[in-house]
Amino acid sequence: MKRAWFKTGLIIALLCALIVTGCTSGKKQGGGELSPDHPVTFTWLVYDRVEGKVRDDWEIFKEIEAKTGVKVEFQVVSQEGLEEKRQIMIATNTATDFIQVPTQDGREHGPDKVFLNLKDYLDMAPNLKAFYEQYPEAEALATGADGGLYTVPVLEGDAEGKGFNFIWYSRRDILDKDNIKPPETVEEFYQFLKTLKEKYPDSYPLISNAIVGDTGLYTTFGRIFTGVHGFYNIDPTTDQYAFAPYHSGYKDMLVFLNKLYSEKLLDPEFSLLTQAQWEERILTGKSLVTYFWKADLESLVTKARNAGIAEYDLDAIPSFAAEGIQNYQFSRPIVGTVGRAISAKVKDKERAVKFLDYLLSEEGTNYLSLGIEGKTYTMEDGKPVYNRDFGTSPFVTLRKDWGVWYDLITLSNAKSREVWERGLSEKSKDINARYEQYIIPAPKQIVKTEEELELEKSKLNNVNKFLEQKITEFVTGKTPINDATYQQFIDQAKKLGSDELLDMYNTAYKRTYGK
Amino acid sequence: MNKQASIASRLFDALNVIFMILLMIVMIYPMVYVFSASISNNALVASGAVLLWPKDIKLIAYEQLLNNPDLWRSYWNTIRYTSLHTVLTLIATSAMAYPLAKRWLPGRRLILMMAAFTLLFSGGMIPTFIIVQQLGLLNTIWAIVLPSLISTWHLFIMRTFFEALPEELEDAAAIDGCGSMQILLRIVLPLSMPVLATVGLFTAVNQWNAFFNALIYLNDRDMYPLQIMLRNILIAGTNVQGEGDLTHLETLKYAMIIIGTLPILCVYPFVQKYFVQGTMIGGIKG
Repeated sequence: MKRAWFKTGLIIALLCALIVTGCTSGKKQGGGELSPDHPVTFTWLVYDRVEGKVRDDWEIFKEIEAKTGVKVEFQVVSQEGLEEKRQIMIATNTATDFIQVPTQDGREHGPDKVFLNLKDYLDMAPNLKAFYEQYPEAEALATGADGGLYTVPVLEGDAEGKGFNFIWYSRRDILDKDNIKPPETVEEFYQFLKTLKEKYPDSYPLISNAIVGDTGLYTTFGRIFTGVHGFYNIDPTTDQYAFAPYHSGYKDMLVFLNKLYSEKLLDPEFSLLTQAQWEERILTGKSLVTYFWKADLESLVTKARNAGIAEYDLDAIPSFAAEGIQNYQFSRPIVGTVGRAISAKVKDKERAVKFLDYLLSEEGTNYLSLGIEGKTYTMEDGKPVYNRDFGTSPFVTLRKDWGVWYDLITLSNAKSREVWERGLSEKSKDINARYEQYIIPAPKQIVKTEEELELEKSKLNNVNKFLEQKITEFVTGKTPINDATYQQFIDQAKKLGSDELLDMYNTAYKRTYGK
Repeated sequence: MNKQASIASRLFDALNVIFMILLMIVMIYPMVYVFSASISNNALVASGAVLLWPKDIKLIAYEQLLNNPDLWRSYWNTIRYTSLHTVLTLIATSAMAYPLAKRWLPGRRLILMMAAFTLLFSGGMIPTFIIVQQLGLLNTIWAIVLPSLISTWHLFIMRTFFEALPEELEDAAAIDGCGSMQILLRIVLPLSMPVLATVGLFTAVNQWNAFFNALIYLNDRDMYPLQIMLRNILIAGTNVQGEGDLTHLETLKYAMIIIGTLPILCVYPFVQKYFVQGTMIGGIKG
C-alpha cells in the first residue's frame, strides 16, 4: 500500500518535473534547480522525541524527495545532549547543513560565516521573501549585526494572537459533588481554596509545578497582582517593559501568597517540587488546583482514572486578576525563539536555499505541519482536520509514524496547533471558548545588541536568583512583609542592576520595532 | 565481670546487627523500588502509589524496551567500546609505565613532568574536538577509545607498582637471554596482575558509564552507547515545554535502569575484591 503510494507519488513528481523542465527548457539549465533528476543530500540535526524516534522512512520525506530530489539525512542526538552538541557545532563551524538554533545564535554567529546569509539568495526564494515580509518580527529576529538574514524563525502561534497554552485546572468532580462555585476574583479564589481545604483537610489545594517560568507560581500571581507576566515583561496597558516588583501590587501578592502558605492552602514544598512530584500530587488528589498547559488535561484525567480514582475529572476555572489589573493571558508568541539555519559550509548553497524555500511554501509546510492529505488529515468544510482516530493527542501518532509536527523539523507549530484545536473534544473547545476573552497577543521579541547581551549575561541571572530566593523567604514567612523589608528588597534588586536591565529592555524594544 | 563483658559484647553485637540491617535496607530499598516500579502500572507509579511492592503488574515497559532494536545495538556498542578501550588502555599504559619505572631512562623526569602536566591542565573541549575532527576520527569507535586511552593517574599507579618489583628478577631474566620486551611480557606483566586488574577494572567501569565523548564525537544513532539511551529516557518529562512532553511512560525509566545496571550487578560481587585492592595499590612504595 505504502509502496504503491510512493510509486504513484514518484510518477506524478516525475511528470511534474518533465513539465517543469519542458517549460523552462528555454532558460539556462542552472545547477541550482530543485528536481528529482539532480538528487542532492543534506544533513539535518534532530533529536529523538519521547513519542517516537526519528526515522529515515517517514513518508513525508519520501514524497518531498520525489518532488525535489532532496534527500534529508538526519543526524540524531539525544535530547539531553542537544544543547552541547549544537554549541560545539557552532564553535567548531561543523554545523549540519540544516540546523535549528536559537535566533540569538543565528544573529551572533551568522556574520562569522557559520550560517548562510539568506539575504543574498532572496531573489531565488519567493516564499522566503514573502515570509519575512509577512512577519516583520521574524525578520528582526533573523537579522544579524551586518544586516544579513541567518535564520527562519519557527512560527508558534496564529497571527491573530488567539491561541494560548495555559489554563487554571481544578477538580471538576469535587466541585460538582460538593457544589462549589468556581472563583472569579482573587478574594473568591482564596475562599475557594479555603472551602476545598475544609472538605479535604489532608490536601494542600493549590500547587504549582515551578516558581518561575510560564506556569510558575510567581509568574502567575505576579500577573494577577501587577499585570506583568514574569519579572520583566511588557505591560500590556503601557506597551512598555516593566519590572514587576516595582509595581505597587507586588507586595499584595507576597501578602496573599504568604496567607495561602500559612493557612496551608498552598503546597508547603512549592518551591522545591519536581515535575514528577507535581504530577503525583495532582493525580492523587493531594492537590486540587493548579495552573498548567491545557494540552495535558485529558492525559492527566486518563492517568488518574487508571490509578484508581474512577470519578476523577479536571476542568478549567476562569482566569482572574486583582482589582484594577487587566485579566489577561498572553497568546502563544507568533514567532518562536528558535529558527532554522543553513550551514555556511553547505555544498550546494543555491539548492539548499531553494529547499528551505520549498519547505516554506504551502506544499512544504503542509507536509511538515499537517502530513499527507487523506492519510494524516482530511479537509472538512475547506479546512484541514487531523485523522479522528489519532485521538485527542494527535501529535503522538503524527510524530511517531509520520514525522509531522516534529520538533527541530517543522517550521510552523502554529499551523499544526490550529488544526489540532479544530479537532479537539467538545470539552476542550468549550475551555478554549471560555478563555478566549482573556487572550491578548503576545509581545514581540526584542533584538539585543552585543553590549546589551553582555549586560543581560552579567546581571539578569543574579537578579533572578535574588528575586526567587527573597520572594520565597517572604512567602514562607522567613522574612516578615512590611514596608521596611520590602524597601530593602527593592533596594537590593536595584543594587544588582534591575534598573539597568529595565532600561536596556525598553531601549532594545524601541529600537527593534521603532516605537 | 565476665557476665558484664558478655552483656556489653552482646549489646554491641545486637547494635551492630541492627546497624548493618539498616544499612542494607538503605542500599537495597532503592533497587527493590526501581524493580517494582518497572513492572507496575504506569498510572500507579506516576501517582506515587507504588512504594515497595509492585502493583497491578504490567510488563509493557520491558516489552517496549526489549522490542526496541536500539537497546540491543546500544548494548552491543557499550560492550564493544568497553572491551576495546580496556584492552588498548592496558597495553598502552603498561608500555609507557614500564620504561618510566626504569631509573636509567634518559629524560625520564621530563617525560614524567609532561605527563603530570596533563593532570592539571587540559586543552579544553573545543580544541580537543577539533583535533579529533582533523584526525578524521569523528563518528568512529576510535573517537571514543583514543582520546582517553592513557589516564595519567593509572599511568602513575602502574609505574609505582613496576618500580616496586625486585630488579634482581629482571637481571636474572636478562642473564638468561631475555630482551627488554621479553622481560616485560614474561616477567613483569605476569607479576603485575593485581595492578592490571585494577586499572582494567577502573577503565572498564568508566567506559561503561561514559556518555559525554559519545555525545559530542558520534553523529549516528547506530553508534550510541547504552548510557545515551538511558539518559534520554530518564530526562523525559522533567521539563515540560509543549504539547506531548508529558506523554511518556514513567515505568520505562525504571525498566531502563534495571536493564542498564543488570550486568554490573551480576559481575560486581565477583570483582569487588579487586576494587578494594586497587585503592591500596597506589600507596605501596618500594
